[in-house]
Amino acid sequence: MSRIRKIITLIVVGLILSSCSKQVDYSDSYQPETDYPIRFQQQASNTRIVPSEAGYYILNANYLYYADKSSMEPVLLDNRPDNQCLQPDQTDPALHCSAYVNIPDTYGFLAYHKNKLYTLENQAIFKKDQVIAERTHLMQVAKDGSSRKKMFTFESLPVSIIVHRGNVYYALRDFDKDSNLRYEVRTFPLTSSSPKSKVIYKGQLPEGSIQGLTAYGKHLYFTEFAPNLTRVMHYDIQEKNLTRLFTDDDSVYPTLEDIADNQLVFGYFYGTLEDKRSWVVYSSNLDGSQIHKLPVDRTYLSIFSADDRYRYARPPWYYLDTDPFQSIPYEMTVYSPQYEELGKVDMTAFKKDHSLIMGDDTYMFVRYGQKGSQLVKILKKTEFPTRFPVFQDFLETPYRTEG
Amino acid sequence: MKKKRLALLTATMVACFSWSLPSSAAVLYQSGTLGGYSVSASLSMGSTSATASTTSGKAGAVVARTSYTYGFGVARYTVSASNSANSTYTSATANSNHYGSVSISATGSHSVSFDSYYWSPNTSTQ
Repeated sequence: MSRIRKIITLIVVGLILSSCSKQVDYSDSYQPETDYPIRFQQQASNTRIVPSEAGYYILNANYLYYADKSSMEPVLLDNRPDNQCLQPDQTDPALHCSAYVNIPDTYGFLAYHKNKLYTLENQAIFKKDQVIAERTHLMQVAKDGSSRKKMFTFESLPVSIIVHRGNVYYALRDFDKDSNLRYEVRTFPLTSSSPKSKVIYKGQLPEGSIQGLTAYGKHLYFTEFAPNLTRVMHYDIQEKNLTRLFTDDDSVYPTLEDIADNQLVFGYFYGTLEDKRSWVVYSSNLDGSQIHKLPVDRTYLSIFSADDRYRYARPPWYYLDTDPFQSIPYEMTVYSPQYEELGKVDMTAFKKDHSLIMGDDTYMFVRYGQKGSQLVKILKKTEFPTRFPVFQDFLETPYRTEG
Repeated sequence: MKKKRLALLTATMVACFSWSLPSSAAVLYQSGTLGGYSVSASLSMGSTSATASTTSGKAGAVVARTSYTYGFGVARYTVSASNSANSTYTSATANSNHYGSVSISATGSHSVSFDSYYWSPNTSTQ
């Protein structure tokens, strides 16, 4: 075979292989290696606890941890014996602790995609010894914390971000040099050597915002809100079209609560806690079609969530100090997938700000701040439905009072 | 150059800066001395908004950013605001978008920089 023929053969084989590797998955089934971990979502916040093959990665109060599923002992991602992690007098933790992530706590983010770990990190930009700006980067972090690789620099700090099937989806909200508000959803391919982001949705509402990016299968969901207005939006990743879900009535506030059995679980809030229409929960197809009332009757407003084996409902805890909810105990009712009540989990320890992460078949997580620390507790679900234990201590990290 | 700045920052912080940390409470206020000048950062949360403020005894780049989380129906919403100025003071207020909402929590991130000095405290209602 001549040299030219060999080169042509190599190019053709290369092209075939590259076209195969770029085959996009548009199926509506969960792929754990590449998909957004929907069971680890936190409402109005980015994921900070993500599952891997053998354990969980956790971002807690600016520090990265790993816990093996068998031991559930969280360890910092810095195995140097002389590391200076968690030292309150450490003025530059990024230099002395490979587990430290420099990002405001509200915007903390963790993703695990194809055996790789990703987080967001802020960098101060100096000019003449003054900080003139901050840049936010997507960083790929070695799984032992020993190194980081910058993957992308964002236009501004993302207010919501997910990684799903090889792409990063994120929402921005900032102002241009003429003080005009810009808020939008953008995307870029995670593995591109020089990624460029493109807009997939540009918001038009005065004082509008976007939060709660979620993805399942070929579907991307997010919440758009503005003064006295909430919309749930759906982007079909395959067809590249955008629709508004559940209602076109801006006097009603829809909430996408979870996804279970390839169905969206959602409700409508009519503005007052006493309005019994707000207590009803519905399901629909993944594109929002075929809406049905779920076979469960609640006697007050309830937050619904799901994992692969159970369904859950609990009152919105932030209303439990006010009428008409003052007499309602903070309990989480556990249901079968057919909404047969199985039992209740006592949640009275979490009547202040907290985030519940439904987790996998084994563990549920709760995150909250208390007395200057961020805590994570875990609930072992393997004893359901014969026993409903309380949450156990798992991880406590003091907040850094300096960024 | 970057390493030099970081080293300078570390030395500056160790030598010149001190502040008191509440050991078991929300950090709503921080203050201290930076390059011989007073600096402070504060956070407040009301029934429908949160405000972060940053003050410096010497004019420089001052930044205040706040994120405010509230509940409305079964949804939690997080709104944020930020402001920066080449001055001695700036503040940022994030407001609830929904009438009848309930305040849940707020965080503040602040920074002051002038000459070769840099301070970036965090505040929180938790």
